[in-house]
Amino acid sequence: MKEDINLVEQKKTDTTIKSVFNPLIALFGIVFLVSIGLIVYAFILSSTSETLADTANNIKAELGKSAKKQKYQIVTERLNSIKNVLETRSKVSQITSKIISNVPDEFSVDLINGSDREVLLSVSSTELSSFATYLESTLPKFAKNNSKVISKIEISDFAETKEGYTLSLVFKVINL
Amino acid sequence: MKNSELKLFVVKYKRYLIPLGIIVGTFLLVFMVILPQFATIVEKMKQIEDQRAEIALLNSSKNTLNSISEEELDSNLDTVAKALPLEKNVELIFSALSDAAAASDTNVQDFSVKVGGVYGLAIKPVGQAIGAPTIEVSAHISGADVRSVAGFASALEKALPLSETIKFDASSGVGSYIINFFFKAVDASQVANDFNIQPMSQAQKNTLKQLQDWQ
Repeated sequence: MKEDINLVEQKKTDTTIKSVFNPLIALFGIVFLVSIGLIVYAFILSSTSETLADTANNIKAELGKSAKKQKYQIVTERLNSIKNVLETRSKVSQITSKIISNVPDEFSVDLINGSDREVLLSVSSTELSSFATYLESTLPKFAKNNSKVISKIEISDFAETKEGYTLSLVFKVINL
Repeated sequence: MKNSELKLFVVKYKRYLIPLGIIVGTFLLVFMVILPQFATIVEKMKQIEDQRAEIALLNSSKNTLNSISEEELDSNLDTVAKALPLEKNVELIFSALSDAAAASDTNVQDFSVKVGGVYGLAIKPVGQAIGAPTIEVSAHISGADVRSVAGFASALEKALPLSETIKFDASSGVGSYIINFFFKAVDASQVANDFNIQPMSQAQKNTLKQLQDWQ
Protein backbone atom coordinates (compact mmCIF):
# COMPACT_ATOMS: atom_id res chain seq x y z
CA MET A 1 0.00 0.00 0.00
CA LYS A 2 1.34 3.35 -0.99
CA GLU A 3 1.56 5.75 1.89
CA ASP A 4 1.31 8.97 -0.19
CA ILE A 5 -2.25 8.22 -1.28
CA ASN A 6 -4.67 10.30 0.80
CA LEU A 7 -8.25 9.30 -0.04
CA VAL A 8 -9.75 11.43 2.75
CA GLU A 9 -8.35 14.66 1.22
CA GLN A 10 -9.57 13.74 -2.28
CA LYS A 11 -13.07 13.00 -0.97
CA LYS A 12 -13.13 16.42 0.69
CA THR A 13 -12.18 18.11 -2.60
CA ASP A 14 -14.87 16.17 -4.49
CA THR A 15 -17.50 17.25 -1.97
CA THR A 16 -16.44 20.93 -2.36
CA ILE A 17 -16.61 20.71 -6.15
CA LYS A 18 -20.04 19.08 -6.02
CA SER A 19 -21.33 21.79 -3.68
CA VAL A 20 -20.10 24.56 -6.07
CA PHE A 21 -21.21 22.80 -9.27
CA ASN A 22 -24.98 23.33 -8.93
CA PRO A 23 -24.81 27.08 -8.18
CA LEU A 24 -22.39 27.45 -11.07
CA ILE A 25 -24.81 25.72 -13.41
CA ALA A 26 -27.63 27.93 -12.08
CA LEU A 27 -25.51 31.07 -12.61
CA PHE A 28 -24.61 30.01 -16.11
CA GLY A 29 -28.28 29.31 -16.85
CA ILE A 30 -29.32 32.76 -15.63
CA VAL A 31 -26.56 34.48 -17.62
CA PHE A 32 -27.52 32.45 -20.69
CA LEU A 33 -31.21 33.38 -20.35
CA VAL A 34 -30.36 37.04 -19.80
CA SER A 35 -28.19 36.95 -22.93
CA ILE A 36 -31.00 35.45 -24.99
CA GLY A 37 -33.45 38.00 -23.54
CA LEU A 38 -31.18 40.92 -24.41
CA ILE A 39 -30.61 39.64 -27.95
CA VAL A 40 -34.36 39.27 -28.49
CA TYR A 41 -35.02 42.74 -27.01
CA ALA A 42 -32.32 44.29 -29.24
CA PHE A 43 -33.90 42.57 -32.24
CA ILE A 44 -37.33 43.97 -31.31
CA LEU A 45 -35.84 47.46 -30.96
CA SER A 46 -34.11 47.14 -34.36
CA SER A 47 -37.37 46.08 -35.93
CA THR A 48 -39.22 49.02 -34.31
CA SER A 49 -36.51 51.40 -35.48
CA GLU A 50 -36.80 50.14 -39.05
CA THR A 51 -40.58 50.58 -38.98
CA LEU A 52 -40.21 54.13 -37.68
CA ALA A 53 -37.57 54.90 -40.33
CA ASP A 54 -39.96 53.65 -43.02
CA THR A 55 -42.76 55.81 -41.62
CA ALA A 56 -40.49 58.89 -41.54
CA ASN A 57 -39.29 58.24 -45.09
CA ASN A 58 -42.86 57.88 -46.33
CA ILE A 59 -43.88 61.20 -44.78
CA LYS A 60 -40.73 62.84 -46.19
CA ALA A 61 -41.49 61.47 -49.64
CA GLU A 62 -45.04 62.77 -49.37
CA LEU A 63 -43.82 66.21 -48.23
CA GLY A 64 -41.04 66.24 -50.83
CA LYS A 65 -43.58 65.89 -53.65
CA SER A 66 -45.69 68.75 -52.28
CA ALA A 67 -45.38 71.99 -54.26
CA LYS A 68 -47.04 73.69 -51.30
CA LYS A 69 -44.07 72.80 -49.09
CA GLN A 70 -41.60 74.37 -51.50
CA LYS A 71 -43.67 77.54 -51.86
CA TYR A 72 -44.13 77.88 -48.12
CA GLN A 73 -40.43 77.34 -47.43
CA ILE A 74 -39.48 79.92 -50.04
CA VAL A 75 -41.92 82.40 -48.47
CA THR A 76 -40.54 81.91 -44.94
CA GLU A 77 -36.92 81.92 -46.11
CA ARG A 78 -37.56 85.13 -48.09
CA LEU A 79 -39.28 86.74 -45.10
CA ASN A 80 -36.27 86.02 -42.87
CA SER A 81 -33.90 87.49 -45.47
CA ILE A 82 -36.19 90.49 -46.01
CA LYS A 83 -36.37 91.15 -42.26
CA ASN A 84 -32.58 91.09 -42.18
CA VAL A 85 -32.38 93.46 -45.15
CA LEU A 86 -34.90 95.86 -43.61
CA GLU A 87 -33.03 95.94 -40.30
CA THR A 88 -29.55 96.37 -41.74
CA ARG A 89 -29.90 98.29 -44.99
CA SER A 90 -28.44 101.76 -45.26
CA LYS A 91 -30.43 104.44 -43.43
CA VAL A 92 -29.22 107.29 -45.68
CA SER A 93 -32.68 108.06 -47.02
CA GLN A 94 -34.29 107.93 -43.56
CA ILE A 95 -31.82 110.31 -41.96
CA THR A 96 -31.83 112.77 -44.86
CA SER A 97 -35.60 112.72 -44.82
CA LYS A 98 -35.52 113.60 -41.11
CA ILE A 99 -32.99 116.37 -41.69
CA ILE A 100 -35.04 117.92 -44.51
CA SER A 101 -38.32 117.67 -42.65
CA ASN A 102 -36.66 119.50 -39.75
CA VAL A 103 -35.73 122.48 -41.92
CA PRO A 104 -38.28 125.24 -41.28
CA ASP A 105 -40.53 126.26 -44.19
CA GLU A 106 -39.07 129.77 -44.41
CA PHE A 107 -35.81 128.22 -45.62
CA SER A 108 -35.10 127.17 -49.15
CA VAL A 109 -33.16 123.89 -49.40
CA ASP A 110 -30.46 124.52 -52.00
CA LEU A 111 -28.46 121.33 -51.75
CA ILE A 112 -28.38 118.04 -49.92
CA ASN A 113 -25.77 115.30 -50.30
CA GLY A 114 -26.22 112.07 -48.39
CA SER A 115 -23.78 109.23 -47.82
CA ASP A 116 -23.17 106.62 -45.14
CA ARG A 117 -20.85 108.93 -43.18
CA GLU A 118 -22.31 112.39 -43.43
CA VAL A 119 -25.08 114.49 -44.86
CA LEU A 120 -24.36 117.93 -46.29
CA LEU A 121 -27.20 120.40 -46.22
CA SER A 122 -27.27 123.87 -47.67
CA VAL A 123 -30.20 126.15 -46.91
CA SER A 124 -30.90 129.81 -47.62
CA SER A 125 -33.23 132.50 -46.38
CA THR A 126 -33.66 136.23 -46.64
CA GLU A 127 -34.31 136.58 -42.92
CA LEU A 128 -31.25 136.52 -40.67
CA SER A 129 -33.39 135.97 -37.59
CA SER A 130 -34.58 132.63 -39.04
CA PHE A 131 -31.02 131.32 -38.82
CA ALA A 132 -30.74 132.28 -35.17
CA THR A 133 -33.87 130.29 -34.30
CA TYR A 134 -32.78 127.36 -36.45
CA LEU A 135 -29.26 127.18 -35.04
CA GLU A 136 -30.07 127.91 -31.42
CA SER A 137 -33.31 126.05 -30.96
CA THR A 138 -34.47 123.80 -33.80
CA LEU A 139 -31.15 122.14 -34.60
CA PRO A 140 -30.02 121.35 -31.00
CA LYS A 141 -33.45 119.84 -30.31
CA PHE A 142 -33.18 117.78 -33.49
CA ALA A 143 -29.66 116.59 -32.57
CA LYS A 144 -30.84 115.61 -29.10
CA ASN A 145 -33.79 113.62 -30.46
CA ASN A 146 -31.56 111.84 -33.00
CA SER A 147 -28.46 111.30 -30.89
CA LYS A 148 -28.36 107.62 -31.87
CA VAL A 149 -27.73 108.44 -35.53
CA ILE A 150 -26.16 111.89 -35.50
CA SER A 151 -22.88 112.32 -33.67
CA LYS A 152 -22.03 115.88 -34.64
CA ILE A 153 -23.41 118.86 -36.54
CA GLU A 154 -20.92 121.34 -37.95
CA ILE A 155 -21.42 124.65 -39.72
CA SER A 156 -19.18 124.46 -42.77
CA ASP A 157 -20.17 127.82 -44.21
CA PHE A 158 -22.38 130.81 -43.56
CA ALA A 159 -22.42 133.54 -46.18
CA GLU A 160 -24.34 136.58 -47.25
CA THR A 161 -25.40 136.58 -50.89
CA LYS A 162 -27.41 138.87 -53.17
CA GLU A 163 -30.58 136.89 -52.41
CA GLY A 164 -30.04 136.72 -48.65
CA TYR A 165 -28.06 134.35 -46.47
CA THR A 166 -26.78 130.81 -47.04
CA LEU A 167 -25.95 128.25 -44.37
CA SER A 168 -24.12 124.99 -45.05
CA LEU A 169 -24.22 122.24 -42.42
CA VAL A 170 -22.49 118.89 -42.11
CA PHE A 171 -24.30 116.17 -40.15
CA LYS A 172 -21.88 113.46 -39.03
CA VAL A 173 -23.75 110.24 -38.92
CA ILE A 174 -23.35 107.08 -36.80
CA ASN A 175 -24.00 103.62 -38.33
CA LEU A 176 -25.83 104.76 -41.41
CA MET B 1 1.94 17.35 -25.16
CA LYS B 2 1.25 13.92 -26.52
CA ASN B 3 -2.23 12.53 -26.95
CA SER B 4 -1.84 10.00 -24.14
CA GLU B 5 -0.55 12.71 -21.81
CA LEU B 6 -3.53 14.90 -22.66
CA LYS B 7 -5.93 12.08 -21.91
CA LEU B 8 -4.19 11.44 -18.63
CA PHE B 9 -4.41 15.18 -17.79
CA VAL B 10 -8.13 15.27 -18.63
CA VAL B 11 -8.85 12.19 -16.55
CA LYS B 12 -6.80 13.45 -13.62
CA TYR B 13 -8.38 16.97 -13.57
CA LYS B 14 -11.83 16.12 -14.95
CA ARG B 15 -13.60 17.14 -11.81
CA TYR B 16 -12.04 20.64 -12.03
CA LEU B 17 -12.38 21.17 -15.78
CA ILE B 18 -16.20 21.18 -15.97
CA PRO B 19 -16.77 23.88 -13.30
CA LEU B 20 -13.87 25.85 -14.79
CA GLY B 21 -15.49 25.56 -18.23
CA ILE B 22 -18.79 26.81 -16.81
CA ILE B 23 -17.07 29.80 -15.18
CA VAL B 24 -15.24 30.65 -18.43
CA GLY B 25 -18.49 30.25 -20.40
CA THR B 26 -20.32 32.56 -18.00
CA PHE B 27 -17.62 35.21 -18.31
CA LEU B 28 -17.66 34.93 -22.07
CA LEU B 29 -21.43 35.42 -22.13
CA VAL B 30 -21.19 38.44 -19.86
CA PHE B 31 -18.40 40.16 -21.75
CA MET B 32 -19.18 39.09 -25.30
CA VAL B 33 -22.98 39.12 -25.29
CA ILE B 34 -24.57 40.90 -22.34
CA LEU B 35 -22.40 44.03 -22.18
CA PRO B 36 -22.33 44.65 -25.97
CA GLN B 37 -26.10 44.08 -26.13
CA PHE B 38 -26.63 46.63 -23.37
CA ALA B 39 -24.70 49.17 -25.41
CA THR B 40 -26.70 48.26 -28.53
CA ILE B 41 -30.01 48.50 -26.67
CA VAL B 42 -29.18 51.94 -25.22
CA GLU B 43 -28.16 53.14 -28.68
CA LYS B 44 -31.31 51.73 -30.31
CA MET B 45 -33.55 53.28 -27.65
CA LYS B 46 -31.97 56.68 -28.29
CA GLN B 47 -32.40 56.14 -32.03
CA ILE B 48 -36.07 55.24 -31.58
CA GLU B 49 -36.61 58.29 -29.39
CA ASP B 50 -35.06 60.51 -32.10
CA GLN B 51 -37.12 58.83 -34.82
CA ARG B 52 -40.35 59.35 -32.86
CA ALA B 53 -39.43 63.01 -32.40
CA GLU B 54 -38.70 63.30 -36.13
CA ILE B 55 -42.04 61.72 -37.04
CA ALA B 56 -43.83 64.09 -34.66
CA LEU B 57 -42.04 67.00 -36.37
CA LEU B 58 -42.93 65.70 -39.84
CA ASN B 59 -46.59 65.30 -38.86
CA SER B 60 -46.53 68.80 -37.41
CA SER B 61 -45.06 70.05 -40.72
CA LYS B 62 -47.86 68.29 -42.61
CA ASN B 63 -50.48 69.89 -40.38
CA THR B 64 -48.89 73.32 -40.84
CA LEU B 65 -49.01 72.96 -44.62
CA ASN B 66 -52.61 71.67 -44.54
CA SER B 67 -53.68 74.71 -42.53
CA ILE B 68 -52.56 77.16 -45.26
CA SER B 69 -54.76 77.92 -48.23
CA GLU B 70 -53.24 77.64 -51.69
CA GLU B 71 -54.48 81.13 -52.70
CA GLU B 72 -52.99 82.80 -49.65
CA LEU B 73 -49.68 81.01 -50.21
CA ASP B 74 -49.52 82.08 -53.88
CA SER B 75 -50.29 85.66 -52.91
CA ASN B 76 -47.58 85.65 -50.21
CA LEU B 77 -45.10 84.11 -52.63
CA ASP B 78 -45.79 86.87 -55.17
CA THR B 79 -45.25 89.54 -52.52
CA VAL B 80 -41.95 88.17 -51.20
CA ALA B 81 -40.65 87.38 -54.69
CA LYS B 82 -41.35 90.97 -55.67
CA ALA B 83 -39.69 92.32 -52.52
CA LEU B 84 -36.59 90.14 -52.85
CA PRO B 85 -36.40 88.79 -56.41
CA LEU B 86 -34.75 85.46 -57.08
CA GLU B 87 -32.43 87.05 -59.63
CA LYS B 88 -31.36 90.39 -61.07
CA ASN B 89 -34.52 91.78 -62.60
CA VAL B 90 -34.14 95.09 -64.43
CA GLU B 91 -37.86 95.26 -65.18
CA LEU B 92 -38.72 95.20 -61.49
CA ILE B 93 -36.01 97.78 -60.77
CA PHE B 94 -37.47 100.13 -63.37
CA SER B 95 -40.91 99.55 -61.90
CA ALA B 96 -39.65 100.44 -58.38
CA LEU B 97 -37.94 103.61 -59.65
CA SER B 98 -41.10 104.67 -61.51
CA ASP B 99 -43.32 103.98 -58.49
CA ALA B 100 -41.02 105.97 -56.20
CA ALA B 101 -40.92 108.84 -58.70
CA ALA B 102 -44.71 108.87 -58.92
CA ALA B 103 -45.05 108.80 -55.13
CA SER B 104 -42.58 111.70 -54.65
CA ASP B 105 -43.81 113.75 -57.60
CA THR B 106 -40.47 113.51 -59.41
CA ASN B 107 -39.27 112.07 -62.69
CA VAL B 108 -36.67 109.45 -63.50
CA GLN B 109 -34.53 111.10 -66.15
CA ASP B 110 -32.31 108.07 -66.72
CA PHE B 111 -30.85 105.14 -64.94
CA SER B 112 -28.10 102.64 -65.54
CA VAL B 113 -27.59 99.22 -64.05
CA LYS B 114 -24.22 97.75 -63.17
CA VAL B 115 -25.24 94.20 -63.98
CA GLY B 116 -21.83 92.62 -63.36
CA GLY B 117 -20.37 89.55 -64.99
CA VAL B 118 -22.31 87.42 -67.41
CA TYR B 119 -20.14 84.34 -67.26
CA GLY B 120 -17.08 83.20 -65.33
CA LEU B 121 -16.08 81.33 -62.18
CA ALA B 122 -14.90 84.47 -60.41
CA ILE B 123 -18.09 86.42 -61.03
CA LYS B 124 -19.67 87.53 -57.80
CA PRO B 125 -22.64 89.78 -57.07
CA VAL B 126 -21.81 93.48 -56.81
CA GLY B 127 -22.38 93.65 -53.08
CA GLN B 128 -23.40 91.27 -50.34
CA ALA B 129 -23.04 93.32 -47.22
CA ILE B 130 -26.15 92.19 -45.38
CA GLY B 131 -26.80 88.63 -46.41
CA ALA B 132 -28.35 89.33 -49.80
CA PRO B 133 -26.50 90.21 -53.00
CA THR B 134 -27.19 93.58 -54.56
CA ILE B 135 -27.22 95.12 -57.98
CA GLU B 136 -26.03 98.71 -58.22
CA VAL B 137 -28.14 101.27 -60.03
CA SER B 138 -27.30 104.90 -60.83
CA ALA B 139 -30.29 107.14 -61.44
CA HIS B 140 -30.89 110.79 -62.21
CA ILE B 141 -34.05 112.26 -60.76
CA SER B 142 -35.64 115.61 -61.43
CA GLY B 143 -38.29 117.39 -59.44
CA ALA B 144 -39.73 120.76 -58.55
CA ASP B 145 -37.13 121.41 -55.87
CA VAL B 146 -34.51 119.74 -53.69
CA ARG B 147 -37.09 118.66 -51.13
CA SER B 148 -39.05 116.65 -53.69
CA VAL B 149 -35.88 115.15 -55.18
CA ALA B 150 -34.76 114.12 -51.69
CA GLY B 151 -38.26 112.74 -51.10
CA PHE B 152 -37.60 110.25 -53.89
CA ALA B 153 -35.25 108.35 -51.52
CA SER B 154 -37.97 108.03 -48.88
CA ALA B 155 -40.47 106.83 -51.47
CA LEU B 156 -37.97 104.33 -52.87
CA GLU B 157 -37.47 102.89 -49.39
CA LYS B 158 -41.10 101.76 -49.43
CA ALA B 159 -41.03 100.46 -52.99
CA LEU B 160 -40.51 96.86 -54.03
CA PRO B 161 -38.02 95.31 -54.78
CA LEU B 162 -36.20 96.34 -51.63
CA SER B 163 -33.32 98.73 -52.08
CA GLU B 164 -30.95 100.96 -50.15
CA THR B 165 -29.79 104.40 -51.13
CA ILE B 166 -26.03 104.46 -50.82
CA LYS B 167 -25.36 108.03 -51.90
CA PHE B 168 -27.22 110.91 -53.39
CA ASP B 169 -26.60 114.50 -54.37
CA ALA B 170 -29.52 116.84 -54.93
CA SER B 171 -29.47 120.48 -55.96
CA SER B 172 -31.58 122.77 -58.12
CA GLY B 173 -34.33 120.22 -58.58
CA VAL B 174 -32.00 117.53 -59.94
CA GLY B 175 -30.53 114.61 -58.06
CA SER B 176 -28.15 111.80 -58.77
CA TYR B 177 -28.62 108.59 -56.83
CA ILE B 178 -26.59 105.45 -56.28
CA ILE B 179 -28.92 102.68 -55.15
CA ASN B 180 -28.43 99.02 -54.35
CA PHE B 181 -31.32 96.71 -55.20
CA PHE B 182 -31.43 93.41 -53.33
CA PHE B 183 -32.02 89.99 -54.81
CA LYS B 184 -31.37 86.47 -53.57
CA ALA B 185 -31.42 83.08 -55.24
CA VAL B 186 -33.16 80.15 -53.60
CA ASP B 187 -30.98 77.40 -52.20
CA ALA B 188 -32.91 74.50 -53.78
CA SER B 189 -31.04 71.75 -51.91
CA GLN B 190 -31.70 73.42 -48.58
CA VAL B 191 -35.41 73.72 -49.38
CA ALA B 192 -35.58 70.10 -50.52
CA ASN B 193 -33.84 68.71 -47.44
CA ASP B 194 -35.56 70.81 -44.83
CA PHE B 195 -38.69 69.15 -43.45
CA ASN B 196 -39.06 71.31 -40.37
CA ILE B 197 -42.00 73.47 -41.39
CA GLN B 198 -43.18 75.75 -38.62
CA PRO B 199 -46.10 78.15 -38.67
CA MET B 200 -45.08 81.74 -39.45
CA SER B 201 -43.62 83.60 -36.49
CA GLN B 202 -45.06 86.95 -35.44
CA ALA B 203 -41.93 88.67 -36.83
CA GLN B 204 -42.47 87.00 -40.22
CA LYS B 205 -46.15 87.98 -40.20
CA ASN B 206 -45.21 91.59 -39.38
CA THR B 207 -42.66 91.68 -42.20
CA LEU B 208 -45.21 90.26 -44.64
CA LYS B 209 -47.82 92.82 -43.53
CA GLN B 210 -45.29 95.62 -44.06
CA LEU B 211 -44.51 94.39 -47.58
CA GLN B 212 -48.21 94.08 -48.42
CA ASP B 213 -48.69 97.69 -47.27
CA TRP B 214 -45.87 98.81 -49.54
CA GLN B 215 -47.11 96.82 -52.53
